[in-house]
Amino acid sequence: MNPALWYLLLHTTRNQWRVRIARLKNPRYAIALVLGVLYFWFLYFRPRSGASGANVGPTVDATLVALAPLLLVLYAAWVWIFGRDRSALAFSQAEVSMLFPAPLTRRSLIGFKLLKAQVPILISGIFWVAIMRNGRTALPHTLRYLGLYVVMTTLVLHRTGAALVTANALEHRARGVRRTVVSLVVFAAVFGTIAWACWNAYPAFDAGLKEGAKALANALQRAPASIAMYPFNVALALIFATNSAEWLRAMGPALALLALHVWWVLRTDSAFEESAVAASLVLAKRIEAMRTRQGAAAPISAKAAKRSLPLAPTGAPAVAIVWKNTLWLMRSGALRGVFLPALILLVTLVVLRGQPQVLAAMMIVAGGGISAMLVLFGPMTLRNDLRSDLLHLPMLKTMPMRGREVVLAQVASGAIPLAVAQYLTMLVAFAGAFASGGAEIAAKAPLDVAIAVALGAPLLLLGLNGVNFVIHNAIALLFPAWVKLGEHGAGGVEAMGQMMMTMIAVLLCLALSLVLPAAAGAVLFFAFKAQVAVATAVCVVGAGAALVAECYGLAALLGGAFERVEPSQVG
Amino acid sequence: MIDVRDFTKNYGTFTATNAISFTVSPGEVLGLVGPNGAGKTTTLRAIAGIIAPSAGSISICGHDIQTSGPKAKQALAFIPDEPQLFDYLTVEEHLRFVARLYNVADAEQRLGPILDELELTDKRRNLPTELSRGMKQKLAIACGLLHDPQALVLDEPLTGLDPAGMRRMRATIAARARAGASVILSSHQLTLVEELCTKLFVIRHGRCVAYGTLAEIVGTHPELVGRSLEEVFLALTGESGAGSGQ
Repeated sequence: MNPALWYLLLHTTRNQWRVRIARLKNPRYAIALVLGVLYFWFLYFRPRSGASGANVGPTVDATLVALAPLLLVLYAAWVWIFGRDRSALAFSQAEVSMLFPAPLTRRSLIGFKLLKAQVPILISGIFWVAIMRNGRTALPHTLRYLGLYVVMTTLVLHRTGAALVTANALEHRARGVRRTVVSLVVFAAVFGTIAWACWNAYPAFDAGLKEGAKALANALQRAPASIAMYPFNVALALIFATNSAEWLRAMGPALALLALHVWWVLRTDSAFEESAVAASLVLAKRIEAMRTRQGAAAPISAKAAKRSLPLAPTGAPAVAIVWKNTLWLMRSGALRGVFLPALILLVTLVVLRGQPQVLAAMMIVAGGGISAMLVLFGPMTLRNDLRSDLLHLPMLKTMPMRGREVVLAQVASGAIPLAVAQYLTMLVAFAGAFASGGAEIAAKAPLDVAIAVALGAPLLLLGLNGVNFVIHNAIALLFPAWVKLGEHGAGGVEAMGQMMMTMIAVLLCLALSLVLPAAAGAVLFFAFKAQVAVATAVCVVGAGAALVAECYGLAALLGGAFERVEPSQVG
Repeated sequence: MIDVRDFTKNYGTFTATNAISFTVSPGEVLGLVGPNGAGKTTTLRAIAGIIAPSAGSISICGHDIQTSGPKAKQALAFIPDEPQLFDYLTVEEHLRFVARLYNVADAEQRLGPILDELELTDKRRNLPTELSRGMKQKLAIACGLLHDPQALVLDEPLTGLDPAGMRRMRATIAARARAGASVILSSHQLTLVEELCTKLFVIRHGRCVAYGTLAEIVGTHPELVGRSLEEVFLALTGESGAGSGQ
């Protein structure tokens, strides 16, 4: 590679770290870093009992090991089928302006791009080693790290190669397809063969999950599927190696695979500049958006832009904000994330319809668990409120509305869709449980009580999410420096620490805000306890009403703060 | 009418504007001029309700911007120098959004003409990320004008516009004033100010340096008689223009 590119890479990396370290003078980043490091240490690095390398033995089920490469297959298929992931090719605007017109070969530019990707690989390798150290193997950590490094580099190369091939085919149509025909044929043959084997094994799932998995593992180990699976098995053999001898045996084919990928990517460079410039433009728009405080919004596709909702020109102005924020959800894809659990439960219900006992338990656990998780993590996905709109504070402040109306509209924008998603998840789960569990479930939870919960739940969920979103918005409005404003959160260890602090604050506030509604619900339940179904309904509705009232009161208070806040305090 | 009384804005110990007062009657166009950092944007942002005065009051059509914010803002449009647009709304959706905010009952009839006027009809389904800087500025202007505001506050409105767009924008501002709107125009383009403004408010270091028609201002400074607006501006603000040799 050209020495100038080496210089650029080394100095850019050094200066990035210098800036990060200098940032630690700010207490916010320093505390966040400490918390982030503690979090990672607790999760991945803390000493655990029984994790010594001496305790060697096969701990992973053979079927699981046989099926694990399918995850890599899915990843690779995703990269190819939805292979418009141009970020694999993106250069910064400065790089495009200075490197593309410079007398450098395409290959040296690709080499530079690939070398740049090494830094995150080297860092994430450490975390993967920490995650995998409980596998109870005799393989030294350094060898594990080297193995992971080879596999991850191969994956990055595969992603870049797939992006180049698909960009070529999409942009140059017939000519592009002709140029990359070998790659496309190999892709089709490999994935087609594996898909065919999976399809043939599918009927075995009628006999149960275990039998189905075994049949699938067997199908993948027979030719021609085993040939198609070979590269994926090669990659994972290195990761699953339990001792140095196994690792050494796996390393040879893995390095060959890596070399093949290097050769392939460097050869598939004909559409590189055009694709890279297009990808870089998208990246530049994101960066520009961040710099101009417009939010780090991901560019949306023309198809997504067509998703719309009607809006009457007259009526409460606050509805316009809810409408705008709902379009944000629809177009950014964030809405899919919270409605997906309900859909997955529904699919599970259909797939496992033959196993009522498993299904009933699974539905209740999954339904309750997912709904609870959505309470905690839903607001982090649905950031279509002040956490995004504070970047447009000057515009919001000119709107002809009271502060409390603005805050309520922002809170409703996230709380309503999340409540609907939770309600649907619970409905699917409990309907599934009742349908499959029959008398056993009915004995534990009578139908009239279940109906009472189902009737009261919408208000309860609305109030609960309302209060939750008010808290998130309050933190963003009152402590904007502690929250990453915009569509996405930040990355890095400090960001993790910052997220933890926000999470702790949210949980504390949420716990406090639940005290009165819970007390109200309990009082109402005991007042009507003679009839359990009625008492349940009154309890749920009463607690829900208290939460809604609390949400309104808090939003009104926050409205006052909104009217007082100025752009200089947020920026 | 826009009425600013003893408006003061402090940021800690720094005073951005110090007890400035002026009135813009219906049909008037006030040119707010001053060097960089004089307090123009602070004044405009306070009039728009974005920041609160530390002292003094601001009213729009008789409604105090602080105590009757929604009523005052209903009559106002603020067009900033940097267009503030939502990434996820198309051009047309921005206008529909604004229509609902300001309860524009005949929005459907107004959309077509305003999109035509600002040459945005072909771009009505485009997102802001697909628009040029000038187009974004036009969209921000369209959003400001849709509800037919009685008070119009413009901060460098011609930034990013092409020559035809600039001409149209000048005509639009003049037409709005003739229709009875009170207009405040802040710009460093003194030819634009000279062409459109009926009164001037010259601000420096947060204080009023001169206020009135150009003739009135020159009348109080006999040494400025016969000089161009640019020379008057530089003399009033104590700036020495490049190449002036002073």
